[in-house]
Amino acid sequence: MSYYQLVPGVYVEELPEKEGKITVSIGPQHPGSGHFRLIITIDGDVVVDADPDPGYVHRGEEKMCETRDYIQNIPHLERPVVLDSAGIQFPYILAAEEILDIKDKVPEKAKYLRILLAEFNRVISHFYFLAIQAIFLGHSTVLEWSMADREVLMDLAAMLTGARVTFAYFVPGGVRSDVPSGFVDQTLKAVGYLRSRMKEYWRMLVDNPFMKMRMEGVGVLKAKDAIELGAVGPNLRASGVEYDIRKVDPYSLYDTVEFHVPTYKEGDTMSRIKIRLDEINESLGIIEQVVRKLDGMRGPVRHLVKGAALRAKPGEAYARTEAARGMMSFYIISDGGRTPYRVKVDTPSFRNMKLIPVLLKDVRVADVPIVFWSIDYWPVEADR
Amino acid sequence: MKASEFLSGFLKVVESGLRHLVRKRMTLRYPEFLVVPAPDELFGFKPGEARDTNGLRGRHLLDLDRCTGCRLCEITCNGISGAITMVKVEGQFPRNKRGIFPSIDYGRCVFCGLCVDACIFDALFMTDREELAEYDRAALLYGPEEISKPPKELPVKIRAKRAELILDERRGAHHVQRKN
Amino acid sequence: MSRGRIEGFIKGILDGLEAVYSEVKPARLKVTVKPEDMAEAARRLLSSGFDHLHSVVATDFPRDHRIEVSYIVGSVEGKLADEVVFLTTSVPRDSPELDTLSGIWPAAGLHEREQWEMLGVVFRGNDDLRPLFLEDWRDIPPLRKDYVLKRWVDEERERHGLKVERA
Repeated sequence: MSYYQLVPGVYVEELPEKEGKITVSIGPQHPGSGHFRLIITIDGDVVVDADPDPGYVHRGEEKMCETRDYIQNIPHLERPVVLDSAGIQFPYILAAEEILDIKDKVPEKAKYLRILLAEFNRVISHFYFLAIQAIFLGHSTVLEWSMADREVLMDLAAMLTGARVTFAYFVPGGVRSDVPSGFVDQTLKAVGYLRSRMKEYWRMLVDNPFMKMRMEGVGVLKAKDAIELGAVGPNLRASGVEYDIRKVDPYSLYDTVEFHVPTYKEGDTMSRIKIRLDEINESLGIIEQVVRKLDGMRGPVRHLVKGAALRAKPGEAYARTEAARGMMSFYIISDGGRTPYRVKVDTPSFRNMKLIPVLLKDVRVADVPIVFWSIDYWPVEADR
Repeated sequence: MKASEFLSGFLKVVESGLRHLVRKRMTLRYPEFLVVPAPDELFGFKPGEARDTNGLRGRHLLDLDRCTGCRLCEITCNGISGAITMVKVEGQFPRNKRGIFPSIDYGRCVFCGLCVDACIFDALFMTDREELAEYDRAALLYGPEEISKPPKELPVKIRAKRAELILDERRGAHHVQRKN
Repeated sequence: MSRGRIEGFIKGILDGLEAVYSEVKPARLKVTVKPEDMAEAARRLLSSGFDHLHSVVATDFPRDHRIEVSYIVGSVEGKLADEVVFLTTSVPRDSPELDTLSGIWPAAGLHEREQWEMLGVVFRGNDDLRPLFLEDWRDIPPLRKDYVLKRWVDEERERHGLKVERA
């Protein structure tokens, strides 16, 4: 690849020219979520090839993990997706508990509180998805609604954890703080409020004839392709594959709450929106059940681990959970030291990156933003 | 798509939008108002119950009489953001013979509150003060004397009145001023 | 499926291949095979239902002069959906080369590209081994154990004219 100067000091590589086709570099810019570049080849108005170019927000989380102990790793590991900070933190905590051998000592209340915060985060994250998808569609009403409705749950999360976004709430051994007074009532009210709002979202985004024209049949992902390419989360389920870690391999206490896993067969952009609306509804149901269980529950929320107990025995642990964007997993190898020997962070967005070239093929340039965003690709999460 | 289907869908969207004209406004006049969702408690660690109290994680508050200068907060923070360094304070402290106390660089702090968890002497807390903007990076470095005093009231012009979120299914979520 | 049953199941699939079985907590099965048996083992795992590649992990063990490469696979089908199997092999550290499995699990291509960049494991037959996250990287692969993070931090600080605080 050769480079030429665009403006003094700024080098841009020369993009290969294919016969009669133009190669366009989109970005590196901030498409609603983090810096990312997309190189597309277009023939007239139609995309024939797309090549994602990540790495603008690479932090080296895996290397950072090797120099910090199991508690110090908590704050930086929730930064890849601050919207879903509890969701992506969850498997790290589970794997760390396995390797520190304290899995059996986690109190029941802490397990429920973890489910609660993870579901809060799922709703918060899906609302953000709807907001950006709406603004990419030119639908600024839903942008404002969902940004406002997120606040309800973020305020409740702040009440519980002390922070609005980066909670640092889960620790090996439990969670950090107990349910504050009045929290249960407020949460039940919030669930009622958000339930009443979901009908309006459905009306605005799904039953809206203009949205149907824009999104139905655009960017279709077939079930076979989705499995082969390793798609996870709502994108996989929107193509008709019922694969939700919460259901198939229950962790924490997900087997004691009732919910169903929504799936759609179409696999188009519209179904990826519908599935997230459905998932918000399911999550609200889980929040309601968990909060009712927490009401009046007594007991500790944390088994305190400190000093020598933070030194893991040699061994390996693996944990996977369902974060908002899909399956999130951590693989920790310990050599008996204070810090992990190797931590592999596997994020749903990195897995879903494979979908971008497939989905954008034969899509019109005007539809690139909505198809791109419909898989909820989060560059910071993919880069880690 | 049939014309009737198109029309009914379109009218429903317009109706939904129009209904929001009579809803309460959800946004809040910041900084005159400030939402303080947590109960009026300081964020601190209770070793006996192995839990943190429910408070907002904002600027720290240090109890100079209880701090022993054990450096546990500094050691914890070194692997997180490196915001805490121990500095010497002139004066006599019976529990802290060397007279070293944490100073916090808010240009680096990520407000995770794990330093509060690390403090086994009940000396470090966090207040709900989040507004720490300064014109100069050096001004964000708070010494032990500064973080040992409770945060000053904001200037009268922008003094935050505390607001509370009201969730109402029919009229929408909105904020009202808190009574106490 | 319990640990014992999945071990029996996998042993049945990999019959005839030389394999060592170990455990990854909690009760996940790790199968270590020889590098030349990887493709055959992968093909058998795929045909028996492990159709979803979760990840590819390479780990540097300088003391044993080897790099361990694991393919983490799961299944989206009903019976095996709660299972995760690690298909592992070791390659020598000074010439880490392995045949790609992206022909068997197409999702592996991107994961192999990342491990190639981060640990320098060359996956023969993967034509997509281009830099992914790092730009103009000329140093040794960063996730190797002999790459010192602290040195990089100090160098960067110096480059930006910041004082190196550590002694």
